[in-house]
Amino acid sequence: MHNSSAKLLIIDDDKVVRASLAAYLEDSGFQVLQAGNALQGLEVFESEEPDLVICDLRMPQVDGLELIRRIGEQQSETPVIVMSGAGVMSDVVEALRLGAADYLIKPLEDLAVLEHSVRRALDRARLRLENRRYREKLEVANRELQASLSLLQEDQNAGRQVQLNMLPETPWEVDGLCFAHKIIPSLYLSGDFVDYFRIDERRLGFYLADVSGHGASSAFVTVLLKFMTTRLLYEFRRNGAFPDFKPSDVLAHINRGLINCKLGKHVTMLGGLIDLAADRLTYCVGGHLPLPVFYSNGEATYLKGRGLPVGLFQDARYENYELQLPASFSLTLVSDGVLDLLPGETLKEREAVLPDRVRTAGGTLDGLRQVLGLAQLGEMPDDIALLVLNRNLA
Amino acid sequence: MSIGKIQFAEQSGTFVLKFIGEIRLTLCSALDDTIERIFAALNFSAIVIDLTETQSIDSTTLGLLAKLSILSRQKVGMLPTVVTTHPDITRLLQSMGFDQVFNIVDRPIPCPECLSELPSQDQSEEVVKAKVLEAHRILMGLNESNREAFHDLVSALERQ
Repeated sequence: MHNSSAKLLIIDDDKVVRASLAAYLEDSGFQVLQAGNALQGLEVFESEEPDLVICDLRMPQVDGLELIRRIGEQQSETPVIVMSGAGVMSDVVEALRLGAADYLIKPLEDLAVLEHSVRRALDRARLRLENRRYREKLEVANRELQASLSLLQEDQNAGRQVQLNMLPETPWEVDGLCFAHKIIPSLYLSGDFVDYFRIDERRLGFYLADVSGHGASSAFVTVLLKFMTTRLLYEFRRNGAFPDFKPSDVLAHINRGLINCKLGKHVTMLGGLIDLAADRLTYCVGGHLPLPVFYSNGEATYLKGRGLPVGLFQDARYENYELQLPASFSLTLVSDGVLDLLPGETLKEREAVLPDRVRTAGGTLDGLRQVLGLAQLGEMPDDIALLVLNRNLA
Repeated sequence: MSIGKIQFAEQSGTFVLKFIGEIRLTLCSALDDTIERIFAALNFSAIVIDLTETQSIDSTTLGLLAKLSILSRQKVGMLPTVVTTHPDITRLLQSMGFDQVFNIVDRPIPCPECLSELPSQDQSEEVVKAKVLEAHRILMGLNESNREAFHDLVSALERQ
């Protein structure tokens, strides 16, 4: 503890006592100022700003208690040690109540006691000051953090608006089919994404994608996905109709695109194409779990299919699966975040429950939202996305 | 949230990565550095990834495993071996189509008859099978007798 160079002020009307205290404390390495009465003491206090005051309680005119009061009025944190020969308990109590750091009984037999009291009071004052400085620093840091956080939140919200604007209309009625989607991000921004669109007069395309990771970096990839699919569509249209255009072409295209971007992100996805003239669904699986759920005639089952995730392997090949569509059906695509909402200890158990939930929901998005309790969700560990398309459901 | 850990060990050219608990994004930079180091410096002959004590594994880590598969195939003409006995983890790998890019062993005991459906690789099927069995045996040997052969990946990197 470096208190030795501290500046002390001794206020006492007894010159002999004052001098002996001053001598002792100077020998201990302190710088000592003296005053013979309280008013003079206050003057020195104001002009010299000592680190600690030692004052006698019983002095003519202005006494020690009044002095403590006046020092206190100056909002000063300077510790005051009070000495008194009177030893009256009410004085002791009053002095301590007014904030005296210590109370010593005169005559001081052993000046080492005084020195110890001085050092202790200086230490406490220093700690109080440090504490206050830390608190101020922390408060400043907190305010700055709060400001940065608000800025980040604004950014995230702006990003969220962009993302929402990229999503297709829901519900979307087209040629007797109804498409609908729901996305719930675990943070502001989602790494899950869905889209559906008309390709030409007889074909519709749709996909659901789950970008690896969470948050902003994953959300950027969803923008890239939208860009790549839109661009691909544009190319197809510009070159006239593509009779053999398949979902696997789209997945392979996105696969190459993501690998070339070197983002260190990949996507699991389900992509599909509906040929309205032939009433046929062609779909493709890119490492996605769970598989699509097909609902018809009151039965719900997983469609089969497999394939590598998109954006990891340069030479990944994607396979197309086909399904003849009945007059009335529904197809449900979900991201793996939905599995967190289902009961069961193991992945296998939770996976087994999903078709049953789709059946209970009657194959509609609204039904599924109710069955899964999406309106009452707390914080979820993962993004959640649902895409449901259906036709002529009873 | 319980934090998982990744450990590694090396024995006679077989490099073992052991994933324990919940493996998340937080461990990925350490894993990524290690993958770089394995392929830059070590003269390895096989890689085994031990997922028998893995509770869950996030998508970012799966992406890094894919990188490991690609690099291993490039360097030694063979895919890494993944040992998994946890049905959830096995299901996840299968849904990702990882059985096409890893030699997946889903049994605790090595058995030559179980290795009928390994993906095609640059080496002959006999060589691949023999190496997978050997890697699996090494892994079991390390797990049973020699736990101190495993080093914690993160702290090992901090000592570099």
